[in-house]
Formats: sequence, structure tokens, C-alpha cells
Amino acid sequence: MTEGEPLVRWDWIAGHLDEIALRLFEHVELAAIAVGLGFLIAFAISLLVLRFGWLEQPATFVTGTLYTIPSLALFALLIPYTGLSIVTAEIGLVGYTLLILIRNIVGGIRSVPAEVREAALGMGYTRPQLLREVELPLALPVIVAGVRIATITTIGLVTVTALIGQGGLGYLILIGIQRFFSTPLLVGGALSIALAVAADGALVIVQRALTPWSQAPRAARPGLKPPEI
Amino acid sequence: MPQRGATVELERVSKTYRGGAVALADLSLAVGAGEICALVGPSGGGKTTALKTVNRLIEPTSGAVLIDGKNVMSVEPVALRRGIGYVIQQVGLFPHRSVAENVATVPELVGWQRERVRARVSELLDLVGLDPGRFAGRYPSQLSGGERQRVGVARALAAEPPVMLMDEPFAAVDPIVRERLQDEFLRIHERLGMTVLFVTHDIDEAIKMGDRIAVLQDGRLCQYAPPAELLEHPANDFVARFVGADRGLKRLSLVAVGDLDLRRVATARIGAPVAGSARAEDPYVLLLDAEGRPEGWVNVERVHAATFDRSMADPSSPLFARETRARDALSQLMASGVRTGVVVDEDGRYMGVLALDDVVSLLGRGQG
Repeated sequence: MTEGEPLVRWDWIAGHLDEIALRLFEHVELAAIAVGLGFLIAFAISLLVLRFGWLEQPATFVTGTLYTIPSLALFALLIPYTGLSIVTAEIGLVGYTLLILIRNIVGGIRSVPAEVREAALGMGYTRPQLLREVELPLALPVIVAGVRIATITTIGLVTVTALIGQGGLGYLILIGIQRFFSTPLLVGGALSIALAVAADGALVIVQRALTPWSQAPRAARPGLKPPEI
Repeated sequence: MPQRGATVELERVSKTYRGGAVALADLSLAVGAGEICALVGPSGGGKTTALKTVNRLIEPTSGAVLIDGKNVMSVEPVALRRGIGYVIQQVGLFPHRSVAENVATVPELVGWQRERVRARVSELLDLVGLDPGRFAGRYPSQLSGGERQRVGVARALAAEPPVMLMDEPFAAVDPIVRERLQDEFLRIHERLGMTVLFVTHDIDEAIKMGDRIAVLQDGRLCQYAPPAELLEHPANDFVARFVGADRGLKRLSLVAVGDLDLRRVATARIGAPVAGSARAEDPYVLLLDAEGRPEGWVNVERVHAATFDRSMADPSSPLFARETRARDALSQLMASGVRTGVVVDEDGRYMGVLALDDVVSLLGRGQG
């Protein structure tokens, strides 16, 4: 960092608002594609795991292994095949969401009470109806919890993709590091954090809106209960 | 609500699981249209398995299940199940749907018009004793155990199924609520007349609910008989043990005191002359009011007035409505420490006298 330079140069920020907005938009785009695509893939794998129990071990093993690969190493490994492209970035980002998403989708659906499932089948629900109308709505809080973790993780991880020419806000951070210039570094970091917090909050609101029953006030505790009719 | 029961027949149904575990062995059972068949027995006896062969949640290894003579295996399972009411112990209400939406489940699956569904939901909530205005919009988490079970029954009845399968439906609620639910269900059954297969491990519940009781042990049918016959002539030691050493007492709960041979005693109206009112061997006279309602006993040997008057009457004998179960009459007699009770009709008029000895002798019949 240059001597005598202030930590944040507001004039730089004011002069680069367009750039910052562009990077923010890129960041949201990269993260949204990753979580969206990751969710679709994870959902398909989860259905297979729920249908064929033996798939659970291999699915967990593969996605778990993906999860442990350091992101830098993964991008480096992919460059020979997909280059410094958005594809490279998304392969990595999507890969990191799978473990969490599959765990929560499978776990959420498995946590649907057995008697609810039995009653539904006994009343003549088809399997697809059971999934769509009973299992998924009831698993929603757990699934959304998974999406929240995946989203926060991905938003942080997007910054790393700056190293392969993508990166959204990570680009600002990278500039800051390369030029020993703290302002873009701090702007990129702060916006990335703010984005994660905002996305998380939005998902909480979405979940509340989709699961009105989970906020219904419970029956009064025994003892305070009015006499049963 | 027009509804009609269908016959249900299990013909030599067996269910063997991979590995050789036998859940049902050659079970044959015919349930008449509109009857309640109680399936009872120890756990692992096969009652739930038998029940689930009817809606194909379990498919038999051999044998056939017929509803109104039609083999259930020839009906597509989803369509079959939509036509059969199903109630389970833990109810299995959909937590994410309101009471009204839960009750509307099957009508919506089979595509009723919205207006018809709405009317049916209100009708059913009324039927099971839940005020639609108060309960329709609630979620299951906001209900007590008894209310949930009522909603479960309403949901099973929604599309007017001719057959209902109930798997320990009232086992999870406390005894007082259970008894009320049983009474209400019997009342509903009387109105709708559907055929019911009712699984329970509780012989008292089976006796109360069942027109006929099937006792199952190790997947085999030990006895299939109306409650009174089961209590009076258990087919083997297992059934005798299962119905309990107190089966005489249980039989009393099947009998209404109004149906017994009641003793006729000397009676007199208020204001009638005392002289000549009693019988030679017994100085007690039952004093009745102008409408024939019992006031109490009068010992004529201790009366010095010329005519009967209300103040002479000793009202210590309990009064029994004619539909009182003999078992309840017995406990009341024991509790009040008297040897006789007076049985009255709907208007409270004297029908006859029930003596403790009569009930006790009834108890002994068929015992041993």
C-alpha cells in the first residue's frame, strides 16, 4: 500500500460507480447461475437417491470429494479444457453447491413424517402427486436452509473466479491486491458481504411466504387448553 | 348423505415376506355391507396387514380380496384407494394444509367442483362435531389430539366411501376423549351405513365397536363372531385368555337393562290406600307418582297412615334408564350399596326392578 494513501478514496469510488455496478451485476449473475444450476442438478440427483437408496453413498462420495478440492486447484485443473471462461467458473461454483443441496433435499424429504406419507398413499395419491403436493412443501424449510448455505458460500467463492478472468466483485479485490490499492479491495469485499447478507435475508422471506403453516400459532399448552369439545 | 356399505371378503389371503416371515396365513373373512368388523389380537397378529390388503397398501402373496364381489387386484391402486376411507392412529394430517384443505383431499383428487367440495367440508366438520367457522382455517398443529382425530375421520369420509379402513384410530388419545370419539363414530356409522374394518388391540374397544369381531393370532383367524358369542363361547384357550377373565363382566356391557327379565314388584300411587297394597311375603311397596314415575320404597309395616304420601318414600334405589348397560348398572348398585335398582322408560316411568342377584347370575352364565 502506498505511503500516505487514505484507506478509502471516495473520489475513486465516485469515479468508478459504473464499473462497480457492472461487477456487482456480474457477481449476482455468476452466483445465481451457480446456485440455480446447482439446484437443478442436485434436485435430479436427490430424486434418484430417494428412489434408489444405493446411490446415496456414491453421490455423497463424489460431491463430497468435489467439495474438498481447493477452488484454485480446481480452476487450474479445468483451464486446459474450458479456458478462462465463465464455463470454467460455473463448473467449479456449481460443483461446490451440490453436497449441501443434495444433503438438504434428501434429508428434507426423508424427514416428512411416515404417517403423513402413508395417509397420502392410502387416500390415493400417486407418487408424483405425493412428491409435489406433500413431500416437497413439507421439506421446503430444510431445502431452503440448504439453498441459503449454498448461496452464501457461492457468493464468497465467486470472488476467487477473478483469478480466471471472471469474478464479479472479485475483480475489484484483485485490482486492489495487484496495485496495492485498498479502496477497490475494500469495496469489493464489503459489497460481497452485503450481497451475501441480502441474499440470505431474501431467502428467509421467501421461505416464510411459502410455508405459512410453520408460523401458525401452536395449540395452547396442556393445562391452559380450553376443554375439548 | 346417501352412502351405502359394500361387502368386503378376504378369501384365503396369505402374505409371506421374503425371508419367510408369515404375516397372514390363509385368512378368510366376510364382512357384510354396512357392518363394522373389529380386527383384534396381539401386535404382530396380522390385523394391520389384513386391513392393508383391502386398499392394496399390501398385496397378498396368495388369495383374493373382494369388494362387492370385485377383486381389488383388478382395480388400479390409486383409483381403488380414492374409493376407500383410510384412518390411521397417528392420523397423518397434512401439516401444511388447513383443516378444510385436509378434509377436501380426496374430493379434490377425484375432481369435484369447488362449490361441492366446500359444502361437503362444512357438512363433514359438523358431522364430526367441529364448528366449521372455528376450525376450517386452522392448521393441524393448532388442534388437540381429539380434534385431529376427528378431522382424520372427516377426511376419510369426504368422498362418501362405501368402505372405511381404520387402523387403531382412537388409540393415541386419552380414555375420556377416546370414549367420546367411539360414541360419535358409532352415531356417524348409524347415519351413513358404510362398511368398516376397524383394527384395535383393545378387546373392550372391539366389543364396543364391532358387529363382529375377528380375533387374529400369528396371521391366523382364531374366531370370527359377534361380541356376545365371542364372550360366551370363546373358540379356544387363546381367545378365552385374550378376551380376559372378566369376559362375563364384558358381556354385561353388551346388554341393556331394559332388555332383561325385570322383576315386577308391588306398586302404589301417591294417595292410594296403604291397606292391601303389599304382597304377603314382602312388606315393601314401590311408590309411584301420578305419571307412574318411581318416588321410592315404602315399608308398609312401618306406615301408620291410611294413604300413601311422598314423604314416606325412601329413594335410595338408583334409577336406570332402559338403555343403561348391565355392567354400568352393576357398578352403580355396588357403589350405592343397595340390592335393587329401578328401571324406567324414556319418560321416567316405572318398567321393573333389577336386583343385584339377577345381574350376578347373568355374570355366571357361559363362564368357565
